[in-house]
Amino acid sequence: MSGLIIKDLKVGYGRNEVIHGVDIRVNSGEKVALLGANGAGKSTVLKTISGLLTPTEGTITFNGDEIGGANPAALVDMGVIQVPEGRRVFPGLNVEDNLKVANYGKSPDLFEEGLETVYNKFPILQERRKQAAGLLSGGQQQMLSLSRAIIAKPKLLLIDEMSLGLAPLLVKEFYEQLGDLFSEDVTLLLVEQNAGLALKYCSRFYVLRNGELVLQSDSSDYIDDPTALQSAYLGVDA
Amino acid sequence: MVEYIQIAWQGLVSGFAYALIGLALVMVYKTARILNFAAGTMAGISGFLAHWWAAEQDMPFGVAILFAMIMTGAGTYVVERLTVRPLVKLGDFLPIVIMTLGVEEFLANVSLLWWGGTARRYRVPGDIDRINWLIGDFRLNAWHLVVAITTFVTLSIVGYIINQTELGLGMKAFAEDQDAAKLMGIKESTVSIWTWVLSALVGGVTGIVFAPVLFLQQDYMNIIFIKGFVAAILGGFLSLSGGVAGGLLLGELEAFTIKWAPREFAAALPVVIVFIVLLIRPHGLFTREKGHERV
Repeated sequence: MSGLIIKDLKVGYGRNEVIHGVDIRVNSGEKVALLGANGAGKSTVLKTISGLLTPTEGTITFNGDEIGGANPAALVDMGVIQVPEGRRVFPGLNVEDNLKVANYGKSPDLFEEGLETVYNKFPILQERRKQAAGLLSGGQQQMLSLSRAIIAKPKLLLIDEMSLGLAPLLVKEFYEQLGDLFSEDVTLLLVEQNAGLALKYCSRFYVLRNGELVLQSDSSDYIDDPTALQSAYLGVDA
Repeated sequence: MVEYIQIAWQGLVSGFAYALIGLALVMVYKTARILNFAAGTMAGISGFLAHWWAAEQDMPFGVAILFAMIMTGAGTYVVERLTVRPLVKLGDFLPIVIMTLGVEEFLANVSLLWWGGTARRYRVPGDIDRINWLIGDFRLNAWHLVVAITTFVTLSIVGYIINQTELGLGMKAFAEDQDAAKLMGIKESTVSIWTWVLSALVGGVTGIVFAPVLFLQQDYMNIIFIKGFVAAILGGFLSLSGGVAGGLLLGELEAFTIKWAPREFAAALPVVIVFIVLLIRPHGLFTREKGHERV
C-alpha cells in the first residue's frame, strides 16, 4: 500500500510508555494533521517516524517499506523529511551552510538547483546567506528550516509545530505558502496545536490525547468551528 | 631582550604540543560529546611506532612516519568501532568516558610490554635535533623549527577539513545540534568515526614530532595529554581555535613561570590555571557564554 501506515504504535522513553498504540494512515499525496494539546505525544509520534526514536511495538510502513526503527539517515535517503519543532537551525553555521547540510551526501548540482528554488521563494535568505543562522529572526529561521526540507526533496514531509513561538500572522502566512513550497504529491503529516490553521490546510486530522487517539475526522466537519475540538483535546466537555 | 625572546620561543614550542593535543581532545568532545582519556597514550604509541621502526627496524624515516600514521588511523578506527560504538546507543556520557580510560590502560600496558619501561633517545635523520643555530644571541634548534612547521601544516590541514569539506560540515552540524543533524541525513556513526580518526592523527603527529624533544618513554605523552587537557579547558572545550590558543597560552605561562618562580611551581601551574579558570570563566577564556536562543 502506498502512503504512510502506522499500526498499533507504542513508544516510550526508558520505561515510560508515552504512546499507547496509535494507528495513523496518510495516503499518498494526502495532507493530514495530528492535533492535540501540549504533551499529548504528537512530537513523539513524529520523531518515531523520522527515526529519532525507536518504536517499542507496532509497525510503520511508507510506500510498503517497513521504516519503524530505521536510521534517520536512511529515512532521509528514502525521502522521509522532518521539519523539527522549534526550527532547529544550526545557529553557528551561516544560512548557506545550513542549507548545504540539508543536501548532505548528495550531488552539488542538485544543491545549486535547490538553492535557486529556495532563494526565489525566500529572497531574504539570499540576502543574508553569509550570516549566522542564530542571528536570524524567528520567522526567518522558520523559512530556513522549511528551505532545508525543500532542498531535501521530501516524499513524506513531517512538520512539527510550525506555530511554536511565532507571531500568529506569520504562522498564517507560512501555512498559506505551504502548497506553493512543496509539490502537490508530497505526502504530509503535520503536527499542530492550533487546530484552526491546520484544518484549513489538511483534509483530515487525528487528535491525540495522553498518547492515544481520541478522534479522527475530515477537516470539513470542524472547519467552521474548530473550538468544538476542545473537548477532544482536553478530555472534558467544553 | 634576547633572553625574553628565547623564553617566549621555548614557551611557543611546548605550546604547540599542548595546542595540538588540546585540538584533538576538543574535536572529539565537540562533535561526539566524548572525553577521550586515551588520546595521550594513543599519541605516544604513534610516536613510538614511527621512531622504533626508523631507528631499530631500519625503515626510512619518512616511510616509518607514514606507516605509523596509517597504523594510528586504522587502529583508531578499530578502537572506536569495538569500544565506543556499542556504548553510544546507551546514550550516556559516563560509560563511554570510562571505556576510554580502559582503552588507555590497555594501550599503556601493551606498549610497556612491547618497548619496556626504560627511556630511549632515538636519533632523527641527520641528527637535526642536535643542530643549533645562533642568530645573534638567540639560539634556534633545528628540530624546534621542524616542530613549528609541522604544527602549522597540521593546523592548516585540520582547518581546511573543518571548513571546506563535507565531513567538516557534518562535524560542525553535529556539534551544534545532534538531532537536527540526524534529521538532515548525516550519519552519526560516519561523522563520529572520522572525527576520531582525524583526532588520533593530530595526536599521532604530535607524538612523532615531540618524541625527539622529550625522551621516548612508555608514558612520555601523558604529561602532554594533561597539559592538552588544560589547554582545552582554557579554550572552553567547545572551541577548536580556543583549544589551540589555550595551548599556546599555557606554553607561554609555563615558560615564564620557570623564569621567575621556583621550578616546582611550574609543575603545579596547569592545575592552578584550571582551578582559576573554572572558578572565574567556566565557559573558557575565548568563548562567549551561550546566549539565549531566539524564539
